[in-house]
Amino acid sequence: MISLLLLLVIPLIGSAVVLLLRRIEDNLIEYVVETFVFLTVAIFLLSLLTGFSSFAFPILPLIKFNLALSLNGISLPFLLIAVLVPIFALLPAHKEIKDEKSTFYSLFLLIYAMIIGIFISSDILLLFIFLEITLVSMFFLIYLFGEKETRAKASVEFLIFTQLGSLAILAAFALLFSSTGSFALSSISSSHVSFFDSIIILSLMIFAAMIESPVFPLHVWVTDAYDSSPTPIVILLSALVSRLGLYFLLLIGFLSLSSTFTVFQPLMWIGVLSVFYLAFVAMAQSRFKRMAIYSSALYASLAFVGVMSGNSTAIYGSIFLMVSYSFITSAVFLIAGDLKSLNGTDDMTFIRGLLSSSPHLSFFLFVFLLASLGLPGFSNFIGEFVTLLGIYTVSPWFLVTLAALLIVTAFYLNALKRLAFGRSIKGIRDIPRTEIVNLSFLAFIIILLGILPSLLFNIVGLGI
Amino acid sequence: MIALILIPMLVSMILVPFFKGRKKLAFISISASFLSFLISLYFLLIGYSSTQSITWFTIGSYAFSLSLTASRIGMLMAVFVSFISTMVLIFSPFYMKKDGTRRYYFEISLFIFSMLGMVLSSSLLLFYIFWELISITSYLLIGFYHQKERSSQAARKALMMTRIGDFSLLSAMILLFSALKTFSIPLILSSISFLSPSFLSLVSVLIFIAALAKSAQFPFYVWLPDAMEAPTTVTALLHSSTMITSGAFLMILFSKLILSTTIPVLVIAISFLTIFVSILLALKERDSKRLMAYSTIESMGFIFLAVSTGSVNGGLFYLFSHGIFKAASLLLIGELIIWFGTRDIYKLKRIGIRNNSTFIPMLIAVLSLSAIPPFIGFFAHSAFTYDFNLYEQVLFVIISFLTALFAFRFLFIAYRDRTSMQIKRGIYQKIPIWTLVILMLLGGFSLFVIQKIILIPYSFDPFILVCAAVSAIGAYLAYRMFYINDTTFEGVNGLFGRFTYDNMLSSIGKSFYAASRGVSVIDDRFVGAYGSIGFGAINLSYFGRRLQNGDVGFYIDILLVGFVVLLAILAVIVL
Repeated sequence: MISLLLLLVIPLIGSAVVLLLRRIEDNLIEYVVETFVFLTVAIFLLSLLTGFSSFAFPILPLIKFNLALSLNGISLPFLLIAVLVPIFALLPAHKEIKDEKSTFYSLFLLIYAMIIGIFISSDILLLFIFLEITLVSMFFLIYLFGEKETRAKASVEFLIFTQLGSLAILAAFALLFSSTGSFALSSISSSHVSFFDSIIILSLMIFAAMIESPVFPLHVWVTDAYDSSPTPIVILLSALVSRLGLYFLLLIGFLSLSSTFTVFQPLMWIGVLSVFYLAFVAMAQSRFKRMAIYSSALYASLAFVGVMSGNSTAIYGSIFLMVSYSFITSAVFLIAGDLKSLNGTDDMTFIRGLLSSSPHLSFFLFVFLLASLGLPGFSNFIGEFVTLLGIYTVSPWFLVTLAALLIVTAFYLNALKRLAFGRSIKGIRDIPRTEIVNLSFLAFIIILLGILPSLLFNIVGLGI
Repeated sequence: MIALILIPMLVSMILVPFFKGRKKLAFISISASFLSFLISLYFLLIGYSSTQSITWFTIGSYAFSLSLTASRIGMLMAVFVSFISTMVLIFSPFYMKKDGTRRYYFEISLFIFSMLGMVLSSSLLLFYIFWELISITSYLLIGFYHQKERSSQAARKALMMTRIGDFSLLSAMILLFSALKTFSIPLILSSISFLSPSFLSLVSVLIFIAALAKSAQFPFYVWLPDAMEAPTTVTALLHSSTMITSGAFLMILFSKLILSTTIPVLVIAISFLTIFVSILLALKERDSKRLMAYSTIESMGFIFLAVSTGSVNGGLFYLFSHGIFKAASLLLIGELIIWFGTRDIYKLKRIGIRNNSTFIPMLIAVLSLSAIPPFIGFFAHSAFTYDFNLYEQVLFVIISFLTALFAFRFLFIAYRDRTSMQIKRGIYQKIPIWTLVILMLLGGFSLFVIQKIILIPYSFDPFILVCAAVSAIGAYLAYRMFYINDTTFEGVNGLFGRFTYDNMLSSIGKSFYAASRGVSVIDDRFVGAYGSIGFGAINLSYFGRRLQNGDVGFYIDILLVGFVVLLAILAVIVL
């Protein structure tokens, strides 16, 4: 048994060490960060075998506020992405971040710790504090390291929107506390909340989830924030931060207030609308990164549809889809970064013939785009299929979502045709070996999950 | 045990990336597919039957299970697929001389693996997985010459069209699983009676659409002629035994379900439409490979007709015979491309290509296609037209005539003049071509032998003899028109030609893009509007900073103003 506290503390120590190192040795920082990240991963993998032990420490006994860490039924899949995905952000960070390394990496490790903390804390006030630290640190990362022209606007938009979401979550948590008298998840889920209160709480939580996922019409902050950020930050945003809202919704809505949750089933249609809308917008993009931004939002909306259904099959599917797409979206943004560094632009009208000029890059392009299309053998197929199976039982009409996935096929195939096929442009190189290793690991994970989905399904239990 | 048939191709897929050299790669894949052929033939002959099943994963009470089974139809298909694949792979070293051989052998191994997996799977989920893999591999193979603009377009078109069918099959699977809580195909087919007729009709329509898209039937047929950009060996495989036939196989597999509804009427109507459209297009086509594509579309229409009129096993037999003569004719066209460097039949005529060794195999293939006795096509026609009613028979007589006309038009134009070139076939060509020729000559008689495995009703009644006679007349007319008189026959351009129907479909696609641009403009406005919130906040903060400038006098002014405003508000409330 390994204490969950270690998962939280090690990255935090790392963050502090990086800050202390800034005056002594600048070149050492990356090694230190890698050491701390891999230490955390090693502990996580080890404790998957030996088991996790909970931790509790009273902070404010007056309001029964504890530093309480324990796993609930849906923690593990999310903890998996929270621990693993940032590894893949290290390589692009190494390439793209040249100045102010210590600031970047200490914030990076802070966010790493806080997101892990969110998925293991069993006290909602603690959860909120972790969320706030994550979002504010994220704001600073975008503001300090985003693209020069757009970063001020993008970061402020990000801050305003996510703070609006946090405000809603805070209000919902306060209301939960006032009607149950506790911040502990276990006692919240077992106590009775009046119908009226739970309607308000859930409305606020859904609002926050729609901002963070993001779901149309609250997706507008995403374009600027993602587009302006460098690759490592986009990976954190799209693979981890975008999962937080739905995680809270599952935790509070589906697992704690399940009787009222089904009242909101009609909101599934907003998710479906969002899938269609984002598919259309993604189709019109000529830049690869922007297309990737909209398609990552699209799959988050699909997961939103699954979560809102309140149907347990669909929720299993959505959790799988979220985990699977976190890995795929990381890879797609890595590829977007490579396209930009190799060609000087990621505008698809100016790139062609990658199959001839950079065979390795185009191999991964095919793997990850076809994987997102739901090719069997890759993880997304399972996620999409199980989600669709679940939402079909709510209403057969939800199968219209498949039409949106047809549009997704259209624009992915178009992207492949523009980028990979055709005569190559002279002087374009292939991706370096380190990048191949990075992408291969991601491919390995999505193939592993695609072939042995029970690995993931077995660690999910729909209960607190 | 049944998985033994699949393992060789899987091994070949894994080995291919580690080897270099055309000969070695060809050897690996040929021996793999030949091994599959031997194993499946052995299983078929000893009458092996078993089911292998595993539970892939479970969610709540739902078990997602995968299973392979050795049903008779499945085993016959496995023998057929592995046989044709072996033939095509033996031919491959001759055709694929230069580029990207490793990619070629990897993708083609995956292609054969998926097809073998599909015909053997008895769980709908596993069936769908292989079905989808076939779509994707054929996308990769059609786009094999990736530097050519046309092949990249053809690949995109093919996958886009077949994805419609894939999603249709996915919906059918979701419907069936939700109703019956099982993926097992035999179980689904045996519980038809528990389902409501309207539900069954819906499922049948979805399965039918999936088969239409995959088998390139109307209204999806446009992708197949363009798919000719693939290497000719791939085309031969795609037409005769894998991609295209998978749609027809789906119809055969679910024939019991489809025949229990009223959908067959619709199937018959669409099949006749497909057949006539493809004949009209074939009659004027100059490109030999595209012409073969139209012929394949027509032949798949025959199988759909057979299934919907009830001669399911007859349809299966036609599928086999079509595979044999279509593989033969495409391999022969592949030779012409390598030897003479063109696919255009009028250019071939100018060059002059006829001598005994080129002409005779193609003549036999065309005779088989036109169902003239005693070649294999004739026997297949007698089997699949067994249950036709009078109207269908009348239409079919016309079809027989037109089929012979376009098939012999191709033969008499392309092979009109003798060649002066010395042509010798190597061992890689001799084996597949002469094997297929022998099968076309004698394979028809297997109709009498195959009855021991599955029952195929057939009859050599006056109708089928009339068809054969009419075909002969068609052939003679083609001889008069194109060999003696050298007519240039432009055929009917019509509604369904490349420049009307095709353009209509692509304009649908383009309209989607236009719509997407519209939505995107709206989204930009939307994002812009919210973005001004961001700017507003920044400006407000600058304004706020100006307020706190440390000037005490300014503070006092503000204080006074605020006080007055407060007083005014109070006054308003009190009064």
